[in-house]
Amino acid sequence: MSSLPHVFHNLLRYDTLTFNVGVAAAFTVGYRLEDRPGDPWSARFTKSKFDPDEASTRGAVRLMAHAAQIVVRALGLEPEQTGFTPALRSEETSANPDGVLALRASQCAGVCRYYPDLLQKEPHLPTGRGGLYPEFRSLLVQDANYRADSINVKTIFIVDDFVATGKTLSLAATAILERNPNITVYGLALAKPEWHSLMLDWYDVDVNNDHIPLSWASMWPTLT
Amino acid sequence: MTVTVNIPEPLRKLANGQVELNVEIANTTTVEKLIDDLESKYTGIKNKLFDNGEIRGYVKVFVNDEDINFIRGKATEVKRGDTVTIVAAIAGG
Repeated sequence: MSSLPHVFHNLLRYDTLTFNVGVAAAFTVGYRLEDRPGDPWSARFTKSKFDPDEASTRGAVRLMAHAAQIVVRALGLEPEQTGFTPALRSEETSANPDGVLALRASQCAGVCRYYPDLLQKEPHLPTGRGGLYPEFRSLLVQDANYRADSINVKTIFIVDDFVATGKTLSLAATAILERNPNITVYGLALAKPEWHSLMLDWYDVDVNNDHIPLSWASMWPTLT
Repeated sequence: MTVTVNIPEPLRKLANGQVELNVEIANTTTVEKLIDDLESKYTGIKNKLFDNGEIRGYVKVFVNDEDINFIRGKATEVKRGDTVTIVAAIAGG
């Protein structure tokens, strides 16, 4: 089922997701509302994913780096004991050093540590059709065989563009914890895709991006 | 035999809290008619699933693990012994 976050220092914090193995919490800047394309933040998030241009690429990086600073500070984490690593896309076996997730993760790291190739896995099929749904676990692609290196920090953030069910995060977190059992794993993503009408009709919750300060638009000013 | 319909958690209050419903049908029916049958017993459930006669965009219906969007949509055939699962669409990443 859909998971409800709470606002955490102008971000959304998810303490639980549909798949929730090994992840202490996941943070997003906001929602990408599938049925609210006119919502400015949803529009930004959508463009960065499906039709990126230089402005949206830069905007997403700036926004996520800002979000990372907020989370690190708010959680009271020591920068030298905190790392950031990119999530892996379905077709990847390791992070593309020139890819957008690597760019975002490296910028999120800031004064923290950056682990460009912490995670490895086998390629797997994109989660389509019933694959995303926990009701159809037998259809889930679970043989990606995530692996992780040993690292020397107390906290690691896996940086992704969107978090939907938490499946990718959980697989990655499990691999990290196998090699680093004392580490705390968080997810950090730009947004969580959601349906406004679903949340209102089924859950009686009005999801929106009103929690995002207006001033943050200056980090991502161009909409084309 | 009946058709088993798995009800998503947010809609169970409309189905007297039941997780799954066993619906008697003739030999075959369609997803839409099946939902009509449910509506006759559990008022309000169709409105949560349909809008203007079409399945809402955020509703996913599976017949025996197959997404009906890849079959015949609301006209997808349902037979005795089938399992129909209704879930909220998970917006993709």
